[in-house]
This record gives sequence, structure tokens and C-alpha cells, in this order.
Amino acid sequence: MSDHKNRLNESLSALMDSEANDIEIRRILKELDASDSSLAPEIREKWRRYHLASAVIGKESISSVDYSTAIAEAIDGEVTHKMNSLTKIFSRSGILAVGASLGISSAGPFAIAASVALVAVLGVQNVSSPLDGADQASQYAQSAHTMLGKNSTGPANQFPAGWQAPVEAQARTVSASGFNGARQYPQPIVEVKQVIKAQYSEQEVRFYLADILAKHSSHAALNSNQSMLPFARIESGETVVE
Amino acid sequence: MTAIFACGPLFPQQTDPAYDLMVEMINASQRLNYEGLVTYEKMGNLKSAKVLHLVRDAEIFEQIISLNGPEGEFSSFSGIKECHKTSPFLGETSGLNINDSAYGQLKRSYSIKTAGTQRIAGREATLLVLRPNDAWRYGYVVAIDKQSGLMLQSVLLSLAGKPMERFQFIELSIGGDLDLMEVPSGSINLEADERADCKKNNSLFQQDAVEWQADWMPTGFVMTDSQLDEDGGQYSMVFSDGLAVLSVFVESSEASNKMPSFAATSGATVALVSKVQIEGSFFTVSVVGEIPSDTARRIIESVTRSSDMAKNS
Repeated sequence: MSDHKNRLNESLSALMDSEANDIEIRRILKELDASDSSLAPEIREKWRRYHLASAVIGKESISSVDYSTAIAEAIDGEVTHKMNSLTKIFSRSGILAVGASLGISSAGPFAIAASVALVAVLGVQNVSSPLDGADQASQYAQSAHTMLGKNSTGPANQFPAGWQAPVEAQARTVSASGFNGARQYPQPIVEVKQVIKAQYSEQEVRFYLADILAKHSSHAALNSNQSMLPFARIESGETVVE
Repeated sequence: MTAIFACGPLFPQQTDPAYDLMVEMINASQRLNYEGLVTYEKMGNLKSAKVLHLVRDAEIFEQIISLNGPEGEFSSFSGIKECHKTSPFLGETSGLNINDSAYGQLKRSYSIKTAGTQRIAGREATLLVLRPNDAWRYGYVVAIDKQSGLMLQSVLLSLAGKPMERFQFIELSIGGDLDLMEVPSGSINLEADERADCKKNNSLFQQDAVEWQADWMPTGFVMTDSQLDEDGGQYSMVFSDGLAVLSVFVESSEASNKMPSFAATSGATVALVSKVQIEGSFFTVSVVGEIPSDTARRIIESVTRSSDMAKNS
């Protein structure tokens, strides 16, 4: 039992660090769902506390919402390939990744998962301390190794040209359980994490983002002093500006 | 006055080999003809590309051709030195040469240490660790070719010290036939015109542009360029601390009405688009850069209309 509890705790921290894999997420959700679970209240409370901590540090508004239900719904919803139209456009166009809800109120479970991801991602970013740098070289080597080895799907260079972002966003991890979206959809360049609802033209927003990204890459090429690195950041889709 | 301050005081000549290497790297990137194969890795995915970099007179031709995934090519012709010379900001600081300015910027922004050697693309390279002096920017590990000073590898580290992107040469040739090679024609892409015109834009900007300024920037970031887009009314500013670059865009009030606020990230790049109320009107202010999103947010909050800078110039 205590083993099980440890695993749950580990899964939960992985989730909060945006590093949880499908199994870990399912493990947590399953536990929360089980009516006879003695651990469920504890886990739920812990999860809420983690979010609270990130929110306080990140000065985000604090919510007492129980995210587990939302994520469970998101997973259920995805089996039926529910995506809002904009998400489809974005993922097809290769400009933006799945996980966006651009002012479409009926975005559904997908958007819920995305909003959860936002909180988690922000949380992680804010909690992290600056580099302490005591032994940068070894830290670098170590983390470089992690980057290649930790993703359960295999070494990074075995992935096809498409992106995979299991570490970056929860939404992606959730998607992977539903329809393997990360690899099925080509070349997402940007993940939109937060959008204020309004009646804006999807296309204009997309163009605008592509436009400022391309301009920035161009600025960076002139100013970063890092040889041609800024060009490497440009995705082929990104240069298509009106 | 503002401009002189922005470019910072001259740092006395120092002999810190790590900083000297960085300055050498910066010079090499603008001076050398080279071509090679690079890999670019972001969030666990690998991209490979062929790059070509030619310097002809005062112009630099750069081309990158994607080798895997969707076909893509990006090339540009930039009169980089020309533009910098006529920039209203750098123009006033005639006593400051590029080495001193880069040196000062880097010194204020990063603690740089050598970290041994590494073999990259079959060449011997010195490894440098650049630790940011604050949490407003990311850190880097760069490898610099011992022979040419060219950057062979750059790994961008998150605030937690994890690699967020890695750029690396796997094959590289410098000089030789490339010094005489003709610049490929017919492959000039869009951004080229915009850059070649920077002289014109700068003068336009000096005369009658509506000017904006960011009242807050992380230490070490200086404005390297700014321009007003003739037709769209988009005002853009570019800031750099010597390595990290960020762009600030302020849209005209008409364009601002069409744009929602949103945030997007891609690897280390963040794009924060935000509607800001300035002097009673709403403007869309966007910050794009390889910087933490907190930095972008704080910059956006600090953008104001600039009145006194116009008088100075």
C-alpha cells in the first residue's frame, strides 16, 4: 500500500512538473475516481495545494477548482476526436499546436485541459529558481542526458520531423493518451496557452503571430551574435507571411 | 543622453579570457564565410539544416535550407554593418566600437566561465558557460571553435538549468572556395527588402514617427534597432543583451482593435500579445523573444509613449 502511495505521489509531482506520462496521469485519475480509495482525498488535497503554491508564487488568481474532473473529461472527450475548428486549422497549418482555444467558447474538454496546462506550466516556470551554477558543466551534461533519455518514447532523434512536447505541456500529454496527437499532427510550431475570449478573426490572429515571430527571427539574426541560430528557430511554415 | 546611457559606460580593458572569447565569437560570426550542416533540437525533437553564410563587402548573405520534415528555405541579404552605423541609437556613441559594447553588455548580463573543451563537428572547441546574473534571461552553454572563433554549439538553458534548445554544427567548412563563391541568386526571401531598407526607415523614424519606449528592461538589454512600419503603423523595437534578443511591437490603435490578448510559446521563444491601456486608448503591445515569460510581461507593462526622445533626435 505504501508503495502504491509513493508511486501516486511521484506521479503527482511528475504531473506538476509537466513530466507525467500517460500511465502516471491515469494512475492518479484512477485513484481519484475510485470510490473506496482512502488516498483519494489526500491526493486531491495535495494536488490542490501544489496548484495553490504555484499560483501564489506566480501571482495568478487562486482557484479551488478540482482539476482532476476536468482532465478526466478531457481524456474522455478526446477519444471522440473532439477539437474545435481553430485547433484543427492551427494544427493542420503547422503554425500552431493543438491545445488552443482562441475565443471559441464551445471549445470543450480540450480547452479545459489546455487551461490546466497553463496553470501547471506557469507554476513550474515560477517555482524554478535561477541557475545556481555551482557546477554548471556537470548539470548541463546531466540535464542534456535527461532530455534525450527520459521521454519514455525513446531517444529524441528517433522522432519524426514533427514535434513532441511531452515535457512542456500537460495538454499534450493528455492528447497523447487519446489519439497520439503529438505525432499525428504535423509540425506544431507554437503552443497557445492563454487567450482572452472575444470575437476576433482566427486567421488574423494566426497571421499576426506568424508575422511577429518572423520579424523577431529576423531581428534576432541581426542582433543575437549567435551565428545562424536564429534562422534555425524559424519553421518553414513561419515564413509564410501574407 | 538617453542613448549614451543605454549603450552603457565603457568598460576598462580587462583580460578575462572567457569574455574575450565571446567577443571573438561575435566578430567571427560577422566576418567569416562558412557553410555546413547543423542540427537544431527543441523539446526533444531534432531538425537538421544546411546553412550558408557569406560576407560580401558590407553585406551578409545567409541561407538555411531545412533537410528534414517539410521543405523550407530561408535566406536573407542584410547590410548589417550599414544599418548599425546609421542607427539613431548607436550613431551618437561614436567612441564606442562594437567590441567594447558587446563586452559591456555581456559583462552586465552574464557570468561567463570556460568549462573545458569539446569536439564538435570534428573540430576542437572551447566550452563556455554563461550564467545569467538575474532571472530575467536564460543561460547558455556555447562551444567556440578554437581555430576560427565561430560558435559551433549553443544550448539554451531554462531558469531551472534544463536545456530548452540546442543548436549544433555537425559539419563545417570555413573560408577557402567560399571566399570567392558567388552569392546564390533567386533565393532571396521576403524579409530581405525590409532589412536592406533599414537606412530609409531609420530616417523616417527620426522625423515623424510616433515613438514608444519600454521604461523597464532587464539590465544589459539595449535597443539595437527600432522602426515604424510605413503602412501598418506598427512600431517595433529590438533589444539585445549581446546574446538574447527580444522584439517589442506596438500596433496602431486600429490594428489593436482586431487583436486579442494571448500568449504563445515555442521552445525557448515566448510571444506575449497584450492589450494595454495607454493615455486612454487601447494598444496591442507584443513582446517576442527567447526570454522567460515573466520578463516579457514586465516589459509590456512598462511600455509608454515617448515624448522627450523625439526632441533629442
